[in-house]
Amino acid sequence: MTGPVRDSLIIARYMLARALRTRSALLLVALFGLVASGSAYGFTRILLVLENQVARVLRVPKTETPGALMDAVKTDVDFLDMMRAMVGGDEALLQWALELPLLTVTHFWTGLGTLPFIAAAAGAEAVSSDIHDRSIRFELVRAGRLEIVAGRFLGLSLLLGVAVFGSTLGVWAVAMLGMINNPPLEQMTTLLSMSPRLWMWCLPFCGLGVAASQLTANVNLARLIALAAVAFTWIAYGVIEAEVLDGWMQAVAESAQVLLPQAWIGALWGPGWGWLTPAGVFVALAWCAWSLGYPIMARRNL
Amino acid sequence: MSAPSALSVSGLKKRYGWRSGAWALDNMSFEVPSGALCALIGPNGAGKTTLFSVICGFLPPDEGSVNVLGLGPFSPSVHKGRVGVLPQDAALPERHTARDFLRFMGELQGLSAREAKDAAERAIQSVDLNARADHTILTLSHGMRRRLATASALLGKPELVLLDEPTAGLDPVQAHSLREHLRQQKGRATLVISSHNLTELEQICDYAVILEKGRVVMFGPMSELTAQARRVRWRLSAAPPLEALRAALPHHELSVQEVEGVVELLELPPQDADPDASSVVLMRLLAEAGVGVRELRRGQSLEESVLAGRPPS
Repeated sequence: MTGPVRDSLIIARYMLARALRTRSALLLVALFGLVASGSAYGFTRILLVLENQVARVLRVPKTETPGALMDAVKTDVDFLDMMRAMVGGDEALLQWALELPLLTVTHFWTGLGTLPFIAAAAGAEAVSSDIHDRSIRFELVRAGRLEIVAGRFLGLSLLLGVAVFGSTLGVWAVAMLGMINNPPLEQMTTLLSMSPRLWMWCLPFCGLGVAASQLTANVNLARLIALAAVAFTWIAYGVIEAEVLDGWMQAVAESAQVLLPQAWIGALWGPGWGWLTPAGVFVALAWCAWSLGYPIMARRNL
Repeated sequence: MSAPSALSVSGLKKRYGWRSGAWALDNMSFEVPSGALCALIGPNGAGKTTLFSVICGFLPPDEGSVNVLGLGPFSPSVHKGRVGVLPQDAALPERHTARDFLRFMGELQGLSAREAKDAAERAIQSVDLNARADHTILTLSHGMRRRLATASALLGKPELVLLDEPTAGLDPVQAHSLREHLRQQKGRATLVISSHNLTELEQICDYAVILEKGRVVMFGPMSELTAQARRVRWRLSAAPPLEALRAALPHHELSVQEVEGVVELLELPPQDADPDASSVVLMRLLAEAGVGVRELRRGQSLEESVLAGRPPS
C-alpha cells in the first residue's frame, strides 16, 4: 500500500476508534437515532389518525395502536397522496414503497431530510478544532496535509455509517412497540437494506462540512458555513425544480443540477441495485466537496 | 571535509500579517552539525517557536530555505520517521489515551502496527507514564502531557529531534529525569532544544544558536560560547599580588574585580597554555602572599555569555 493511502487509512482508523471509545460516536448515533426514532413515532401517530378515519368510513371500532388497519389505509387517498409525495410522484416507486413496512419508508424519508445537516455539522469538526488548539501539528510532522484531511473525511464517513446503521435500532424499537402487525424480521431487514443508501446520501454533505472545516479554525463558524452550504443546495435544487429562472439561466442551472446530490434522490429509491449509481455519484461529489477547502488548507499557517 | 549538517538554515525570513509587520525571522542563517545536542536560545519574541514552525513546515517561510538532514525542506513524505518534534504550544488530542496516541504517532511515522506498539511501550517507560498509559490525555496533568509529547518526539529512531521548551511546567524531579533522558540521546540523534533555562541547556547541549529579534546573534560549539577551556575565575579571600602574578605568567591576561564584596581574579590563558600548569603557579604565588582561594571556576556560564551578548574574547 502506498504511503499517502496508508497514512489516510491510519488516520481514519484511529479517528473512528477514538470516536467509538468516547462520547462523540455515541452522540452522533444518539442524535440521528433520536431524530429517526422521533420521526418514526410521529408517523405512527399520523398513521393512527389515518386508520381511525378509515375505521369511521368502514364503521368498525377505532384502534388504539397503529397498524391494525394497514391494508385498508394503503387504499386511502390521503395516505396515498402522502406516500406519492415522499417518492417524488413516481407511480412505480409508489407501488414499491407500498410493499415496504411504513416505518422503513418514513425512516428513509426522514434521513433524506435530516442527515445532510447532521453530516455537514459533523464534517465541520474534521480539522478546525485541531487547527485551533494546534494538536494537528503532531500529525503534520508525520503525514501530509492532504492525507490528514482525506483521513479525517474517511473516518467521519465511517462514523456516519455507524450512526446511520445504529439509528435503525431506534426505528425498529418504535415499530415493534408503537405498531402492531409489523413483522419484526421484515421490518429490520428492510431498514438495514435502506441504510447503505442513506449512508451514501450523507457523504457529499459531510464533504461540504470537511471543506468548511479547512477554511477556519473556529469550529462554530465552520459549522455555520457547512449548514449554510447544505441549505444552499436545497434552495438551489428547489429553484431549479420550480423553473423560476429565465431562459438560458434555467438551461445552465438544469445542466449544473447533476452536481447537486438532491438531483439524484429519485434514483436512490427503488428496488434492486439501481441505487448504486447515485451512490457512486455521491462518493465522487463528496471527494470533490471536501477538496473545495483544500487550497486554503494547503497554504494556511498551522 | 566538514561534518554534514543535520539542519541548515539560510537567509530565512518570516513575518506575520501584512507587509507592514515586523520580521519574526530576519535573514536567519546557521547550521547545526550532525550529532550535536544544540541549544536554541533567545528571549521571548526572539523567533525560536517561529523558527521551529518554519523548519517543520507548519508555517511557510517568506524567503530563504531550510535543509533538513540534507534532504531539502521538511516534507512528511521525505522525512517521515526521521524527524521528531515537540511543538511548544500544541495541545495533545485529549480524547486519545496516552498509549493509543503514541501507537497512532508510531504508525503514522511509518512503523508497522507491531513496531509502533513496541515503540510506544518503550516511550511510555522512558517518560515514566506506565500508571497512566490507558487514561485519556484529558485526565493527565500538565507535566504528564509534556512528558507524553516529548515521548512522541523521541518515538522510533528519529535522526533529528526538535524540542521546544521540553521541561516547561515540569517539577524538578521530572525535569531532571527528562534532562537525563535527553542527554542519553547523544550519539543517537541530533537534538535542537529551545529553552529559557540556560543552566539546563548548558548541562545538556554541546552546541548553541543564540537568537535575538529574529536574528542569529551567534552560533557554535558550547565550549566556545562559554570559553569552557580557557577562562578561569578565582574567588579569593583578599586582593592578590597582581604584578607578581603577571610577572610569573607574562602571556596570561590577568585582571581583578570585586563582585558583591568578594575579590575575583580573572585569568585568560593563551590558547596553547596548559591550564593545570598555570593553576599550580598561581596557587603557589597566592599561598605565598597569604591569599586564600575560596572558589575556582573554569569558563563562563552560558547565562553570562548570553547576557554579555557575545562570546568571551
